[in-house]
Amino acid sequence: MRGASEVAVVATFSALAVGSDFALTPYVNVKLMDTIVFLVAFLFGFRAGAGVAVVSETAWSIVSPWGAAGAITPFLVGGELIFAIAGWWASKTWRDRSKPWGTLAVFIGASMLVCAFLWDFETNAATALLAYWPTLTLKDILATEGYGLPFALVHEVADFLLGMAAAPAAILTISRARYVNK
Amino acid sequence: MTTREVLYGVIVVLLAALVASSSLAAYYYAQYNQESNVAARDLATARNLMSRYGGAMTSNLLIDFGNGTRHWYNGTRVEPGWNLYTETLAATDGNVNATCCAYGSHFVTGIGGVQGTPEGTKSWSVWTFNRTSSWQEANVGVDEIGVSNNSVYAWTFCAYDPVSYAPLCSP
Repeated sequence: MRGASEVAVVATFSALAVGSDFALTPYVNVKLMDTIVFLVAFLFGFRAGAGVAVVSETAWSIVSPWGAAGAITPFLVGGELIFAIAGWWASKTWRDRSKPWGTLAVFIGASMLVCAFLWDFETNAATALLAYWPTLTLKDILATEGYGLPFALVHEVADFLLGMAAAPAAILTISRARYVNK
Repeated sequence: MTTREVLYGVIVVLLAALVASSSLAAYYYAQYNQESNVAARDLATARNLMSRYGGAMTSNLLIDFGNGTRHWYNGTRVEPGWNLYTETLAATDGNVNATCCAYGSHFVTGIGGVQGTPEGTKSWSVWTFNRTSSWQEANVGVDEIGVSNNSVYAWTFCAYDPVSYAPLCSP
């Protein structure tokens, strides 16, 4: 992918991710950002997906209506990169995109669910690290993971459903648009 | 899709199922532990009260029917964990009408056959008593008023202010 096109893809989808985050503010842990990062990496490659992950998560960490994320921002960005890696891996693994509404949708939804779990696990551990350092114990980490469980469950289910629904639509739409542009 | 693609897909789906079921199980376990701890704390409090009062606490209850009839149920035997609704049921042999539980508590509409109606001008009110401030209208539901040894409460049936809903009588 050419540099200018890649910058345009990152800018467009980052804006879409942050805008959708604002739109979904009332629904805690239901976000299109994860799906968008995954799909950009799936359709345009890891570098574009990672670009969207870094730009959109950094921007959201600063302008979020819940307040700036502060010291945990690098961990949030790192967690978002999991979706970019998964999207890139999925594009290499599932090359047949002729029927995106079938099993591919389920596979992408399942991948998103696993990524959401890893994201929550990583960010909850980071929260414990920042909250309890330097007296951090394994018990503190487990307790923090426990407090985050209800939110993690919502996040996992939301990402599974959004991945299943949005991924096929995006694959069909963007593939056609790219074909027309050629 | 090739066999290899399907195989990777199935592995991811199984992994997702494992993650989802484990998360749900962990959440259930955490909730169960939390509720167990609360129940254990309440049980310890109840046992502590039992040991202090030997399971024989008494409370005093006045029911003013608003027609000149007033019944004092002095020395009503109550047990740790009871609330005013439970005590009223015990004192009146269950002769209480109530709806449950719009605001987390019973709403008593009738006692001893004296019944208030939604369109009526009279209703039942709950009163607490202490030596300093005498009778005070309770500002919480009956289920939230715990009874203890020698506690004093009252019910009155009378008209109320249509704006503030404050009863126009006192015990």
